[in-house]
Amino acid sequence: MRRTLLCWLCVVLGLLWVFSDKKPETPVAPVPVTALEDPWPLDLLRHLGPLPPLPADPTNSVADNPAAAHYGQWLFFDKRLSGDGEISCATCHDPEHGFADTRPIALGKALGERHAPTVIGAAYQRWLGWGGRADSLWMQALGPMENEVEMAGDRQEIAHLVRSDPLLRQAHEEVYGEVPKDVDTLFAQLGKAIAAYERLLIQKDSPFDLWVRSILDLPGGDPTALNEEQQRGLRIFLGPGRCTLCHLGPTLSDLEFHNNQLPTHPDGPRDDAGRYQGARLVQESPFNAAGPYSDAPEGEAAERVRALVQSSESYGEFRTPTLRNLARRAPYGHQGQFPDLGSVLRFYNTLEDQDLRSHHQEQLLQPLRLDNAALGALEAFLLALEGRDLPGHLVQAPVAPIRD
Amino acid sequence: MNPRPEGTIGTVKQPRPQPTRLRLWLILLLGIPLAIPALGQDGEATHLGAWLHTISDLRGPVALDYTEGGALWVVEADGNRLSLFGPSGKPSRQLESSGPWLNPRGVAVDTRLYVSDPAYRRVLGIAVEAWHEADTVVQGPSGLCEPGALDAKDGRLVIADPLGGRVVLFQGSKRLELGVGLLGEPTGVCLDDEGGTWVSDAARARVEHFDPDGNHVGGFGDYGAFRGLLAAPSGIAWWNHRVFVADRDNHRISVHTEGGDLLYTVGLHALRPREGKGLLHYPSAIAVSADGTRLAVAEPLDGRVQVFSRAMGAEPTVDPLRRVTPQASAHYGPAIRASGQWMLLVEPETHSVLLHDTRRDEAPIELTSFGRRGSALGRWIQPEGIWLDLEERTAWVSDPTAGILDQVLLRIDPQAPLNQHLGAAAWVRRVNLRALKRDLGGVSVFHDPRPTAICRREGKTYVIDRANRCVLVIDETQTCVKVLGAGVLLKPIDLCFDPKGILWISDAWQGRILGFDPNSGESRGSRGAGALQSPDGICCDQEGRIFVSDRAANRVLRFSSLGAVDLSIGKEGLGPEGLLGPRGLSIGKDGNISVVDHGNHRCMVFTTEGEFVRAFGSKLHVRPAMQPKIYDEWGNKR
Amino acid sequence: MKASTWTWILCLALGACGGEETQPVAADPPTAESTDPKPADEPLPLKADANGGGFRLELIPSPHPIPLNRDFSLRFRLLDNEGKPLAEPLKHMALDADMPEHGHGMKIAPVLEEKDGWIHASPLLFHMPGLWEIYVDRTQGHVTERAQLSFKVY
Repeated sequence: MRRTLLCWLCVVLGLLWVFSDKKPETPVAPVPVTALEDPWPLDLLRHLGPLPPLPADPTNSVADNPAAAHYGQWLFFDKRLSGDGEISCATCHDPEHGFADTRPIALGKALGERHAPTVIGAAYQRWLGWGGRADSLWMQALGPMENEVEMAGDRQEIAHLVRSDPLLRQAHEEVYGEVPKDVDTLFAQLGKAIAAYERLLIQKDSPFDLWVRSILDLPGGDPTALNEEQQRGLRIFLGPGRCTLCHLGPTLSDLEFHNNQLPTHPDGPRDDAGRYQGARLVQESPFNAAGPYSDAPEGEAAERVRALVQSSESYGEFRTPTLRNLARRAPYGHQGQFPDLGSVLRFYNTLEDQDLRSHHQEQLLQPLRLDNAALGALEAFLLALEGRDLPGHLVQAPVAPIRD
Repeated sequence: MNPRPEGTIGTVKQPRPQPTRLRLWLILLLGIPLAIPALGQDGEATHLGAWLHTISDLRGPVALDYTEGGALWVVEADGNRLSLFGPSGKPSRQLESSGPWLNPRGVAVDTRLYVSDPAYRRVLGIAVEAWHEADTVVQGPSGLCEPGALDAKDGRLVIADPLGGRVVLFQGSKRLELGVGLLGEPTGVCLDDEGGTWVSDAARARVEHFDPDGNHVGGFGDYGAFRGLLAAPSGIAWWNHRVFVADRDNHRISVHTEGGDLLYTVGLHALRPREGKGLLHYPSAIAVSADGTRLAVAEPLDGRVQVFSRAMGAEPTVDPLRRVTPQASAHYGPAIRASGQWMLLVEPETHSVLLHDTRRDEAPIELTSFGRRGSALGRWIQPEGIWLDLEERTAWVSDPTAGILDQVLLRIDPQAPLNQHLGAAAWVRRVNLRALKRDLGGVSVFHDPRPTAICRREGKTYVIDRANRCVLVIDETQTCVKVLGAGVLLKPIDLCFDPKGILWISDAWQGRILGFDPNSGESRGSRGAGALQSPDGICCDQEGRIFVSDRAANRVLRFSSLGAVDLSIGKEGLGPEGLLGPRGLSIGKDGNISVVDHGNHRCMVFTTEGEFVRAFGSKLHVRPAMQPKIYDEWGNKR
Repeated sequence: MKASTWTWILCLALGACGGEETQPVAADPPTAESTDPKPADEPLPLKADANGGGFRLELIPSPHPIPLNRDFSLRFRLLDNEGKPLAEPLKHMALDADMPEHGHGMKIAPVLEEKDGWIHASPLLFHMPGLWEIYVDRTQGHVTERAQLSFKVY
């Protein structure tokens, strides 16, 4: 009887705990923010904007070939590349939602383990995927096609499709000449065409870009593009928010990997090796920049992937996401843990629910302890990183794989 | 993946009680969510993970093995004895310290009992009924450096030699050496049913697999705290194509397929002092019973063996209620050294060394930490010995597993205001004692050096070599010019000079401290025989009084300059006098003595007359010492 | 003149010729020395004594100043205390970099190659802003010694 009572007590306490909605304590001692009239740190701002021209990708000889981009755009929306013919790249990278996914955890053929990140601006990334399992856009495009929980396709069948479908074959030949006999070469070429399309998905001229141009005395600037609250948010971003420790660079990402001990989404795995697995996958893959399918196997990217260090220190690290074009691509985080921007900022402000896995683990983050006004300003600034909308023809499937 | 069929471990179910109405609700509420994830684990519905009972009050249990009948032999290293416990955990037999061994370390049960006796670098074979007449089955010095864990099966005997960096397999007259050049510190070993040998390598955070001919055929593991990673895997057991690993510094048991895939883990980290009942604290050795129904886990620091049975349900996960526990970091030891206002401490879990300033009359302030895990300069596999010189602003650090001695410059002005100085350490040099090809000061030694405790005087560095049981004297040109104590020392732990220039060395297995003339190497007597059980840290004050921590007796003894014990400091516990496994000692600028209270994860500071001054380190363990009237000796609020 | 004074002189000199992005930072020790006059098109090597004083290091990053979060390379050579280049086998050398305040280093391991009396290291990448240290380790027999230079990257 005592044991039964104890069990019920546990259940009641457990339910109380589950349903208790304890809010974090009011942040204390707001960090002073520099006054609006203080000079801007120009050196730091130069790292953030305006968005520079797209870096070249020598590993992909058709990276900037318009025919390849058109063909790739067709492939991006073509569900026949999946095992059951029902999933395309656009299923999870939905143009309606900033080329990201509204689901926290991506659902392809089955429920995945991570959130589908945006493709917009992905061409600026050094490593692709949350764990960096690819070192080029084209290598990244190949992974989901055969992943059993994503598109669950098969490169042999995809090759057969390209060879047997007259329009696809014609489009392929227009870009590459003859369709190669080697399936892996053909597979890589498909990835390169998709990458050529994805390189066009760049939203330029955000309010921040226009404003920073004026601050840096560059042409095309607009000093009024950021309002007072957004400017205050930018000062927090550069200062007490300590955001630029990781979100530094033209995409507002350092392009590298960190473990910020984010809480786990209920549908996501608690243990995800992240970069520890990604670094191994990219180094072992024949489709990396140093491999036989790369168009620059001795280039800078190849040198980098060869020099990559494999270390369990990178367990649980995920790529710093870009902060550009956030408005339409909620939820956020590698498992979509955060339903909105406010919840992301609240996490870094309090570190509540931080997933510390070992009491020996180093405490890398400190709570920001910003007040609500500062958080609001920070969010207003982040939303000012939204670039101009993409042209309509790029956000839908073309009428045919070949250009008119 | 493991291609072999699943064993009965995955199919046997516990009898379920008749459900009452209440229990039915409980099953619905709790059972289903718990069972679903368990069913998803590689088809296994049950696993070894339900805490059954604890065998307590053991004296440093370091090894265990099951008999065919389900009884459990436990080696109690600090008690110098072997104890036999029945399947219910009740003691049934004890082979006392008057046995043929000096200090038993490993045990294995086959047709007879095998016991490793590292003090004499040998393994004994014992017929239990006539155990005083043990015969030596394996003996050095040409063979083993320091035999530790054992396993025996079907006439095969395998011996882990952690300091020798290898495993030795005996089968009849055949003798094979396994893993030479591969293994770092093989602390656990076991045999499988097919003649293979499995080894846990604590230094490399790996499990290695060898075939019956001794060839290395694979392995798994990498260092870290996350699920599937290992941190100092110290014990290993094999049962029915499952590999059980005592993942010591992660405070858990991990169960893998033979291919290395993690199936599940057993045990959560005990954070509060003496937590148990399935919560683990540095599990160091494990054994699985022959029928696979029992898993025994030895925790030497807490003096207990916990026994687990089969369970249905999910593996343990972090209890959210435990998050209220404050950060319990600051595990210290074994070494501590002070110089002027500065104090240096080893922090084992982070593989780093901490520099503190003691100029305030309060708990010391951490100025900087340096080093992390790795093999390149600036990293250590496991730092152990340290020395500090404030005048030279220099620290010396030894890493026995790597066989190295580092000299590090501390770029901090001692007069500067108290502040953190991140990144203040600059490595000056690393001396690789292994590269000396076992030629130490003209003395040829058999084993690769394992440098531990460090002491410096007049430009010379005196460092204990645990493998060769001696003290190496290294001059300013980084040349080993002399070897002291060879052939006399058994387990040298720490060393210090007294004001007369005599070098005193604590010897854990001899239970005394020995004095040497550092120039001639001649003996200058010994102290503490009969009073010390397991002498560990040692330091000397300006009056020539020597302080020695006794790890097994949980106290510090003071020897007068004439050699008599004239003060005992501390007793087992958590209160202001409490010590648990005290290790390093050092006397600071204020004349007080700091003791690394290793088992309590804190440092205790006493006057040289034994009065408690303060404690610092892990909050959970410091609080009981600072507020004895509010908390009982186990840290529970009254 | 005190070593730290020389260090500051070096820093000012390098700051003047090194642009805005990166500046070598005073390290105490190693002792950095003022640079010898060189032809205008020859980049000035950064110099440091080994932490134990056993050798000297000359190092030229490319580009200089070291850019934040962009691949770069460098070349270095070792000299004896009279300034004579040491003919050191490559296998006795190691190069690494670290953020001492963060407790981590680079995520890539550069490849070392010997050419024209210099050792070339590539690729290197300082992915975070802040203080970085470059280490050059030289092993002779059983002893390894280190020379290092600090850089503030932003």
